[in-house]
Amino acid sequence: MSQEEELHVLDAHDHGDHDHGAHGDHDHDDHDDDHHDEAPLADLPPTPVHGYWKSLRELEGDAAFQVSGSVAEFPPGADKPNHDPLSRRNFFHLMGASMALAGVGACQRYEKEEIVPLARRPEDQTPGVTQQYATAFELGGVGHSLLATAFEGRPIKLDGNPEHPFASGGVVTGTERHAGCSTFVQASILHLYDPDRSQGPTSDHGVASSLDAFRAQLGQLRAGLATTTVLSEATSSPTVRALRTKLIGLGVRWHEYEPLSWDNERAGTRMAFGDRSLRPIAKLDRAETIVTLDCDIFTEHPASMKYSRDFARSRRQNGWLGIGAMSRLWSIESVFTNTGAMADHRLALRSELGLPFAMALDAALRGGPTPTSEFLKEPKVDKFLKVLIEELKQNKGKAVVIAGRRQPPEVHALVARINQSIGAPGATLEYVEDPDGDRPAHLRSINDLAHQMAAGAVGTLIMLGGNPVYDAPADLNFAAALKSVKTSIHLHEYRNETSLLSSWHVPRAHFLEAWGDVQTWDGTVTVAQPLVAPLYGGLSVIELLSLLLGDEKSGDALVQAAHKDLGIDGNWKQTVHDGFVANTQLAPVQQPTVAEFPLPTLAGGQLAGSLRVNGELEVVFHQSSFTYDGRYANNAWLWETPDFLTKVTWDNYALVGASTASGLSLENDTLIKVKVNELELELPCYTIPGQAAGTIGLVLGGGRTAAGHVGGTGTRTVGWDTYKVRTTRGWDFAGKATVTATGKGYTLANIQEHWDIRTGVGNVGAIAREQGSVNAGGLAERLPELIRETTNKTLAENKAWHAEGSEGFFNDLVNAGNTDRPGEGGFSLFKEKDYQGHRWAMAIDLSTCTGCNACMVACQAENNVPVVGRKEVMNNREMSWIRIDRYFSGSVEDPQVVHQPVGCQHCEQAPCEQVCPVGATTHSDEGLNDMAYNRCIGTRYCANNCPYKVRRFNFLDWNKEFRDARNKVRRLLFNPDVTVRMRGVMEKCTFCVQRIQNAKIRTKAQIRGGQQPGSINGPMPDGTVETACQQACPTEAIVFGDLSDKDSRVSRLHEDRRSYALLPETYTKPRNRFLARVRNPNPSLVAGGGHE
Amino acid sequence: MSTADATVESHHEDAGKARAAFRAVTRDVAWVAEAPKPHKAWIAVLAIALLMFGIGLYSIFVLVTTGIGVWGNSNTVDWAWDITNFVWWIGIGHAGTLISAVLYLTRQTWRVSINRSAEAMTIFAVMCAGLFPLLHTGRPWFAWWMLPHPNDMQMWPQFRSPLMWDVFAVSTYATTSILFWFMGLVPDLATFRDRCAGRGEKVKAIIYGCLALGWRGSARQWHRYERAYLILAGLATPLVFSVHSVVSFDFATSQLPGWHTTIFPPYFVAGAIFSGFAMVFTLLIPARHLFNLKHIIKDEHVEAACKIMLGTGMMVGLAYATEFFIAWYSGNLFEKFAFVNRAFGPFWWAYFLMVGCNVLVPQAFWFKRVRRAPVIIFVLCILINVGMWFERFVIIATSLARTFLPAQWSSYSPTRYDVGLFVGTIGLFFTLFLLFFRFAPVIAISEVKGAMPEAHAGKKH
Repeated sequence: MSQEEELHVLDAHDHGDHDHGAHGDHDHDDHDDDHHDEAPLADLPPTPVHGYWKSLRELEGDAAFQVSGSVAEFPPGADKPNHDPLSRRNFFHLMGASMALAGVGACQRYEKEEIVPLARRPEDQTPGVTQQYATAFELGGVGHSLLATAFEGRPIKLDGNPEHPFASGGVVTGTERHAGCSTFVQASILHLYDPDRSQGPTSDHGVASSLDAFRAQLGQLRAGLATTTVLSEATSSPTVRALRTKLIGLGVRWHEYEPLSWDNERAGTRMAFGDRSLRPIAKLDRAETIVTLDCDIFTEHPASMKYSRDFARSRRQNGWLGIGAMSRLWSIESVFTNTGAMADHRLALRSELGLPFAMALDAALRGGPTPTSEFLKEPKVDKFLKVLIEELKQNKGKAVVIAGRRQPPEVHALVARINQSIGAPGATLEYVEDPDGDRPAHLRSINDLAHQMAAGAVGTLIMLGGNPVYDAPADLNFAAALKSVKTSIHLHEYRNETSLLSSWHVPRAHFLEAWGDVQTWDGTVTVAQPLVAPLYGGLSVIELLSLLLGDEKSGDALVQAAHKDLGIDGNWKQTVHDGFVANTQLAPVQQPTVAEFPLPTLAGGQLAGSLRVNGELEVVFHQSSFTYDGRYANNAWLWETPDFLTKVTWDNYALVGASTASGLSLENDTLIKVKVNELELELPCYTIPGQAAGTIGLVLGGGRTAAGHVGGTGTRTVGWDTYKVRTTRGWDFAGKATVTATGKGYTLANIQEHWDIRTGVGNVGAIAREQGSVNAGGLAERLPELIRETTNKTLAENKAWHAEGSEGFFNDLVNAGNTDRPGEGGFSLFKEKDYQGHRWAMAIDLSTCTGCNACMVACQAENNVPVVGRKEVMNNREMSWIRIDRYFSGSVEDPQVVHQPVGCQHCEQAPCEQVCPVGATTHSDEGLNDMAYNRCIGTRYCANNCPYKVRRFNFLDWNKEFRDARNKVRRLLFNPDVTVRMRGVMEKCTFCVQRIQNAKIRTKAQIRGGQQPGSINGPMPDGTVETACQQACPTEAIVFGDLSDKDSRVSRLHEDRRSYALLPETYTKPRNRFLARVRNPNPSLVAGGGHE
Repeated sequence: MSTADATVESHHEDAGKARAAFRAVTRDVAWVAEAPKPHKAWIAVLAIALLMFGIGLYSIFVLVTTGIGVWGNSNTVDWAWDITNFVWWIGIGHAGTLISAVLYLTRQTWRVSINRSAEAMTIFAVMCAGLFPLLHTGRPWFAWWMLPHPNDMQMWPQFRSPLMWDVFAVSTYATTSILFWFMGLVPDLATFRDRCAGRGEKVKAIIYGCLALGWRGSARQWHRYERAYLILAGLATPLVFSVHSVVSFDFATSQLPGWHTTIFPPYFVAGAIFSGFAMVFTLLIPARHLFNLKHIIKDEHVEAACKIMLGTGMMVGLAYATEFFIAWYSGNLFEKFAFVNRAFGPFWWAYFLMVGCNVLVPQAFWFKRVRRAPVIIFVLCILINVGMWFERFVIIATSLARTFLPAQWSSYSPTRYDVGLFVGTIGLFFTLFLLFFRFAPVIAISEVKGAMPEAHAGKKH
């Protein structure tokens, strides 16, 4: 039976039994009855043309029915698609679909907005065009020169001032226009618009008052200036100094306190140079050997921006900005810092061992007795020291030693002597006279003050900034002492812990709201000009001091007067424009000679080996990357910027090294109890590889109780108050600490180990257990693919070495031409783009990236990147467009670190673009991977398909808070050139497309206007466009530019043999290339040191 | 099968006897809908289903008003339960299409007892599945932008995206399945209409009458019906293979290790049929017991389905093994890691749950005693559905949690809204299924009759 017959049989069966149906034996041809019952039309006569017809049939049978005599049921062409766009059928097709979808199309949700234009254009402003002003910022008594960007009168961005002699380098010609900027500077603009800032003076412990009432109060005080004491934050301001001199002349006692102070260095140089407070300033660009002793020169040192840039220049041998020989960085430190991460050789030592180490170094270089400490005999230390000494001896005049803030004065004095032994002064090191050399040291000052207050000797206390109730040494009990002061006045931006206990609180003007001046670390007098009138009222320090003196001068008048007295009143207009007074840097002290000084006898832990038992542990107080010393506690940007090394956000913690943690059975993410000098503290523990054994690093700056909505209130705090165990006896570090595990858990919001932290790379206690586990295996195998490294030696000796060379897993693919250069090998299923104009690209040098996070905060400020908070960070929803991946390698005790900043790689063959169903992410003609937020429907497929995981989804409405009335002011901070994204859309790094467009417009306008030669479609001069991250980078590790310009820096870096693409085997052809990290180990340490 | 002529002949002779048997079938199926009061168990289960559906509606409300952030998804695990559930539901639907279309074309007469409910299951499963791609978008009110439509912005969907293909694949599948199901229902709805009219239930008769589209059972109607049924079966057959292949392209065409696998289309189709059959019998084993349909949905039918599950289960097992082999054989370290991590990484338990349920559990169907024990089959079917859910979860979430750059590795855990929406779709599915069971002919009456020996009177069947 044929297939067809069988089907008919089945039909009969299937419906032959319907209760009401006819039974199955019907004729299968029945159904054809409707058709074919007419006679063939071919028989019809042709249509009459004469006008007469015989029958209806003849009339209807027009010619169309009769084409070539065929039998046609339907008119000709009926079986073909109708091409008439306005046929009835097509019309109904379109109308039907349009009507149906028009209903859906009404489902739009637009943000409500109002636009009120200016009725008249303000003078010297072009609407929509930003303006830049030079100003200054001070942190911990050190000035930094800034360039503030304002949009229609409101500051929106802060950057380093590239004109400033100390901020900019100019080591290599043509690079002056670059100045890095630390995270704290970048983020400080957030405070300007912080609605938590104090809104008005209060008197009598919290009763709302007015500035007039305060002026009246100052009038009364003026009568009794002899019983008045001022407690100031450290300041370098010449104006404050001038006013201080006047006040001291009137009997005012003056104290200064900073919780993070470099006074040990001053005290040390006083020891070394016979009561002269000299400030050493290293010239890292001239140094070939740099030794840091418990000192983070990249993020903590007052000159860190300068040091970072100079160091980077001394590291680059070839290519842009290189200056020749490559320096070698040695780091001896307790807590792992960025400097240790950048170092070629790092020795983890407890901070208390700094002294014997310096003594040993000094003794070896100068001759003298070597200390008898146990740890010096340990093979690792011994070898390290020997090789270091050898190198220092060889590199006389080309080496420099820098000691850190924590080390006692004796170490600084020893370092001065060591530097003299190695011929550093005059070559790699300059000494300048400390402009404030005669002020008492901070610790002594606060100690004296607290005792006077407790004794009732202080009638009136005026506190200029600061927060001593929170951050003064715990044993001074400053809060109690403050209560015995009759009148206490606290000038601060916030009503903080100290304000709450003071009788008067006066709001302080933000530095962008007031005139002032500072000195940068080299002494250059730098002027701070206001960009806006104080948003909440408020006085600056100099205005308050001037009021106290009885003359109500404006801030600029005060600064001008002070400069006049100093004899530096040049052209004021020029000074304000430039932001600094030229040629006011401190003159180097010629050939200071180190005097003999007594050395203390070593005791206790200093004589011991590197391992210590519980109870003998050392506690080290560590600067917070989030809040500095606690003062930025209300800064959400900083809290959410992960720590340089731990990658933790929104918390401070105790850092515990590998062996210490396993010895004490401490786990990551558990609460531990730290007991120092009978004081106790509970906080979470973070185990970090490479921290000195026996050292517990306590990060300062958490646990504020009156910081604001972000940083902590009485009921909810962020982090843990480590000042509770910081006393005058153990201010920098303290011995005899006991640590116990409480058994309670506490999860730290870590952005890099969202996954099970106990199996993480950053986690030592567990690494040993995890050796051979799936994660550890996967990591070990892939890291060499992701992070390319080489040594200085290899680069010099093997001219054929190439980062994308023959070593490595995927190199056959790489060699097949996976580059971003057109026409070179490889193939894609999709048509590859042919670029005519600009081809934007970036290069990031892993050799000079110190992981300082400046780029992250700069990006956040530039691109309106939202903050998500601790809980959402733990949910892995942080929004940063550029992140810094941190990887450890080597052993747990002696690891190496590499930082890898990863933003959107702007792949030419972008995997994200291919999978977006609505085409919301597309490629621009200039090779940018663009994101159309208003087209995005949020499928998140692009993020899944991005091998670099740089896409960030708005899982929730992160900008919801900006709709609150109290947060309205914060909206003024938004960069108007960048869309604020709504929930449900994807976002990512755009290569600062708004900056590219602005630069293009500016350049074209200039070319059209004849101010600049060139063609408006041609390449722009290299460096015209600077991305925000590039601008902030203190080491110039990020370079952006146009690949179509063969001579641009980025083109040359892409051609460099160190350059490589991340994940080349995915054939994404990224427009960002990394430059392999170059290490420069000492050959003597390579063999046995376990490096390489 | 016997010859056509002989069948027609003998059919006439035994017409009287056959009619009685046919009437019995009609009665046995129709009583479920005609019973004045629903079964107590039915009410109880419906109440539970409605409660679950309510939880789902609440979850949807919170999701749409708050954002995807109420789920556990993150910037590294951007898809998790949402797409897992989508693929799982779509897979479940496949058995319905397979039973109604493929088995129809291949003349597997045993299909007639289950095809109606399997098709209904398909439709309800596709409805549940369709919710997820819609709701998982960040801005679901714009999800219609995925449809090509004329607009003044000249914007058009991006046809390189597999999500775009999904839109077409799933909507075609849904349309065809609904047409197919409804087509098949028409004669039976007419039966219901006539029975209602006969009992004087006018309202019901009018409703069934409207749905029956004026079916009179004329020979010509039957003829057209058969033709259309055949055409739809022909159309639906490739869909069994295409829909899940296209869904698998979401993963296969991406470049994520663990997703980027050419084996996915056949592997997903086998898995879909596997899970679909498991779901059909999860539903029908209790149903045939509750509604006394054991003489229609016979043990042999259940046994045949068990054999299919055994076969597809082994295909899935082969796919798992092949994936591992290829990952190793490729020498690609990211691939290798993705699979090793799947089995021995932090989600190892999900992987072994998957292998256990999908590969080991169906091995029990080698034994005839198991294939004849409805209670055991019911339990095993549920296990298979769990396993198949975990298969999708393992593919989606564990791959995303461990992509190329270790610094971006993360973990995943669902929130109550993830669970809520999933529970809600189960509620929706059962609600619809129970309503269908109560108000529509759950068994294709006319088709069953066609497959009965009486329809082939005089011939050995």
